[in-house]
Amino acid sequence: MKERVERKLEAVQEVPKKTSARKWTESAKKVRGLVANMYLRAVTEGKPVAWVMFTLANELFVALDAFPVYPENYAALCATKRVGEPFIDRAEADGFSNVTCSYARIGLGYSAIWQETGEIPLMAPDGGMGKPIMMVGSALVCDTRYKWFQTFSRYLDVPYYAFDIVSPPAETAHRPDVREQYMKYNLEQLKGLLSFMEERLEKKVDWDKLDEVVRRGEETYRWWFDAYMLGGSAVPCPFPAEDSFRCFVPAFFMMGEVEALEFYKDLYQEIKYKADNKIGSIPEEKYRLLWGGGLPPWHTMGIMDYVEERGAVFVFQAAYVPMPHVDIPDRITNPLERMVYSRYASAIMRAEIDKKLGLFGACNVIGHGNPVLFVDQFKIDGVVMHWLRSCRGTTIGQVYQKRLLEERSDLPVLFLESDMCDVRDYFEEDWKMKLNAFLETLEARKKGGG
Amino acid sequence: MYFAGVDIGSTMTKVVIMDEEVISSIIGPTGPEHRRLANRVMEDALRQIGIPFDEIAYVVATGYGRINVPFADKQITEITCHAKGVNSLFPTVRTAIDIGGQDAKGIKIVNGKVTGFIMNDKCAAGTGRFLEVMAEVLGLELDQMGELSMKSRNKVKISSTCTVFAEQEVISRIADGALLEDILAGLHDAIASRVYRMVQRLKIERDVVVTGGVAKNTGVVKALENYLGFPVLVPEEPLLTGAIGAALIGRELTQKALESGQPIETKVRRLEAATFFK
Amino acid sequence: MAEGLNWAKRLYQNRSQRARELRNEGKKVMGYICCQPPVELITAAGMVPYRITGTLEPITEADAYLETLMCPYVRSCFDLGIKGRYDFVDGIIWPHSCDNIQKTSDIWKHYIPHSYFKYLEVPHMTDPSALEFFTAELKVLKRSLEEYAGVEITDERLEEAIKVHNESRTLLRELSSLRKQDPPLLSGTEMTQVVLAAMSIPVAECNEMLRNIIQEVKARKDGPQKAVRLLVYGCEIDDIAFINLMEGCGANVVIDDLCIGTKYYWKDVATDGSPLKNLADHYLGEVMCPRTFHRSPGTRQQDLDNRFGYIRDFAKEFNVRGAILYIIRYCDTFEFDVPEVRDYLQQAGLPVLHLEDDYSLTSIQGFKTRIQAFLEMMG
Repeated sequence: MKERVERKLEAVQEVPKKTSARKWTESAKKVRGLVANMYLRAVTEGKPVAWVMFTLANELFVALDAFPVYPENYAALCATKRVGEPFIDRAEADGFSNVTCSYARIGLGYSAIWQETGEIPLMAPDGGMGKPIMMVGSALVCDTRYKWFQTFSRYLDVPYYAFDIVSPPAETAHRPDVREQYMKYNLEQLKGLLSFMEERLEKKVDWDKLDEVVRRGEETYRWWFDAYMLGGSAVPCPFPAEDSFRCFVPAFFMMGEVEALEFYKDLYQEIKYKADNKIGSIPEEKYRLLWGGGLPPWHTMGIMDYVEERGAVFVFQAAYVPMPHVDIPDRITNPLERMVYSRYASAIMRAEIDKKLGLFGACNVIGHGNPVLFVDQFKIDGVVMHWLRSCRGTTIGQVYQKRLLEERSDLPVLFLESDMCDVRDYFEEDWKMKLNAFLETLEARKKGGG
Repeated sequence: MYFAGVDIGSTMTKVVIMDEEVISSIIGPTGPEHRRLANRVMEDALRQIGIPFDEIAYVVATGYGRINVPFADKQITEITCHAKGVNSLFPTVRTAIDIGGQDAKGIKIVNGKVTGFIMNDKCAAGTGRFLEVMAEVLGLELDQMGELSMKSRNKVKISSTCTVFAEQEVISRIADGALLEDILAGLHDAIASRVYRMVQRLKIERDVVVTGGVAKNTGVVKALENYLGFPVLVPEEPLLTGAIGAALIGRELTQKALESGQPIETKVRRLEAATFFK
Repeated sequence: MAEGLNWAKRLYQNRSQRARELRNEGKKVMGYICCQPPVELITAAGMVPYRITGTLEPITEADAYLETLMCPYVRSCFDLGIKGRYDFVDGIIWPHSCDNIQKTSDIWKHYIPHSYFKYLEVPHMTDPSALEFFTAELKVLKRSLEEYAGVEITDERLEEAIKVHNESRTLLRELSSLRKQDPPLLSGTEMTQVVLAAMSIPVAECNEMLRNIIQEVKARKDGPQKAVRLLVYGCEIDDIAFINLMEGCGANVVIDDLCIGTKYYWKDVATDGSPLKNLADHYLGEVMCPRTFHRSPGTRQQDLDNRFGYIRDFAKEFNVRGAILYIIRYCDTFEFDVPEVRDYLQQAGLPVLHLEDDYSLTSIQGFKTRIQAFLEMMG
């Protein structure tokens, strides 16, 4: 018999504060609804649900008519609503360290509570995540992405498939033998995923449909890239980072759907209109900032408003950067091959960029040269980087990027530290003090030239 | 026969002397200059009951400074000793939570034996140190804080888990004009929350007993009960459970030896100061 | 050759001494980090394999290049590198072991001079396409080493190198098995010293040393006393301090599941068929490490047995009383496995102590208390 746990409801005096950021574009405002819809549909529509890591393979789910739910997105949602802590606590109570990915901790805690109570946790936003019939992880970007779901079997007895995605080393990516080796492996891994999905869904993929979806995705990537690049280069900035941090959602979690394509077309039109008519965001754009690296602080996106009140705008963010345009040769007709080709080609392009900057990394996954590139491209006055306690994937390399920047200019770089979801790693007074000091530095540079 | 337990914590030194029950106990501060003087505290305890040192059959030392007791026959960790001590006071205990001056522990207990434990000895938040720092910031005496916090009707949320940042937060809240008792309630909630999160890793079972210096703070105890969802037990003198357990273990070891006819290993000891601090 | 155990101890205390000597004689020293790079390739190219490790010394320079919120072991290795302490290492093979190691690769390459730096992609999966890929990757590595060393790594040379390294593993297993006795004939501390020494010298010398040590240990009368028998599970323990601490509390570490331990020597590389393929199979498929995803269709229990059954078997074989999980903070792959390993071993009847450390053992007192309490708990 379980002991009922009764919490005394006390009047808690919170210093009223908005933790989310205001959105400047119509497209960004749409995203909240899209996200809510994603979760609602997973629970109500009766389609088979898959829990998926961001894998660059969303097209497969669309083509097979399965419903992908992305726990990492769900975790970010919990964080923006500041309801992630009970899930995090539950995961930590089971022995997961507080340095493990907070997306994972939220997902694990959620599943643990779900399994224990048999019900969707009370505080779960948007009706919770639908019950999956399969789970898909990949090794893209970081280790958590295949380890996390592996450990889910503690709570959810659902078949899990992990597959590999490898990026070639920058030095040798252009070589035909290397290309063949890497693309072959990525293709085999993707085929393995498809087999698994077909087995779980008890149906074979319709290749025509997949082709349609993949080509739609290719078009979507182009619009996404164009919109984002235009948003960053336009002066004044019509598309600040808080919007950008919302608008990547369709590309990551809805790629291949008609809605995603339409979304980026609309976004591009809106940005183009504003760019052409010099419509910015804040009234006086004093400083153009670059969010140089690290996932954003989902728990307190309102910090963007804080800097905007002081005349600074994050005109671009380097955490979610769209793939550049890739010309896939017509002779490649198999949709899976097209997917693999475009990922590989974009890796080569990243390598080329770094090469031009005089960098020749051994395993150029993040794109170490990105901040250096963006600083010129988007007329940046200062760079802010975000260290995350629980994300090795996007944190390691930031000091290196700062050094690369310093070697080329005297642009001020600020490091802020917190976590993407766990608000307990966030110290607002500290951030505000640092940001203010940083803006003062920028002010002094503007006045005195350095 | 008499048995002694010496518990040298990072903040307080406790000595207990017992035969069938506790007959003498001393609690004194463990300053750096006192650490080598566990013998002094022992002398005070002996004087209280008027028995000479060599009538003590067995001495067990525990706590952070247990190696600094040259006259101890055995050194046992405070985890094992607390479990024993708490169990002797509350036989229904399954989970002990000890919140000391500089560390905090959770211990799972079955029949007085440890079955699992967790410790925080790295971070000040969630220990007595947290309250000490805040007492200074707020200009209060430590023993005022608990009662005063209970007067709050509108707890101020202190969200920082780090003592240093919590301090800054408190100062900001004072500047905002928040009431003292409301800030205190928030602080007590913060420390309880930290402790709760740590102990949660153990699968908490009732009855839960809270010990250590911070157990004297009713505000923290109440906040902890709020997180647990049920009431906890607190010994009359929450600082002594370690020393009691240590003495009990000494008694057990001696009795076992007597029953089996085996000689028990004790040290040839003199009641003197630890020599390695000169 | 000096007396076995003493020679190992001296080597351990001054790990680079032999490599430096050989370098002065004109040999090339090829460094590598972690378990994945096949040392056989290095040996076959006529170079001296040298395992890059960290130190318990404070990190003083790495902060200018690396974040603090990452694996302290990697930071420590980097700190030594940037201070020039690896100046005797001519080249480095840097594998994609985990995020921390992979993402430090560019940075090491950029700032720490070596005449050779090769990044080795290691798949995370173990299915046929992954093994095929890794074999191809090893082929690329082989060609690159050939070019650097000016030596052709023929199949014969490679097969010979595999044979000698397998012998090394056999000897290490034999030595380790002397800990099955009660009390074990050598301590965990001594075993760690031997393994680290073995990873600092050419394999032929290593084998001679090991044969020597086995003789010595079999005949010794001054081995460890009886104490609680423990298994240690973790990743990079490259210093005796921690094992020593455990044993000092009244225990004998009789078996381990560590990177610088059984992960390295418990299984041999196959010898029939293509040597490169055999190397790929061994280093990817057989080295059981949380960074590698061993796919096993079937029930959850089958999956757990596949991933952790060998640890339980170790515990049984070596008659272990309890297990200590020594996990380095920020080590994601291990951290995610902790609850599973802990529960798995507890269900097998083994008490488990989980310790999370920042690699530098700053809180010795705290560890002592935990380990002692754990030993007291076992009665």
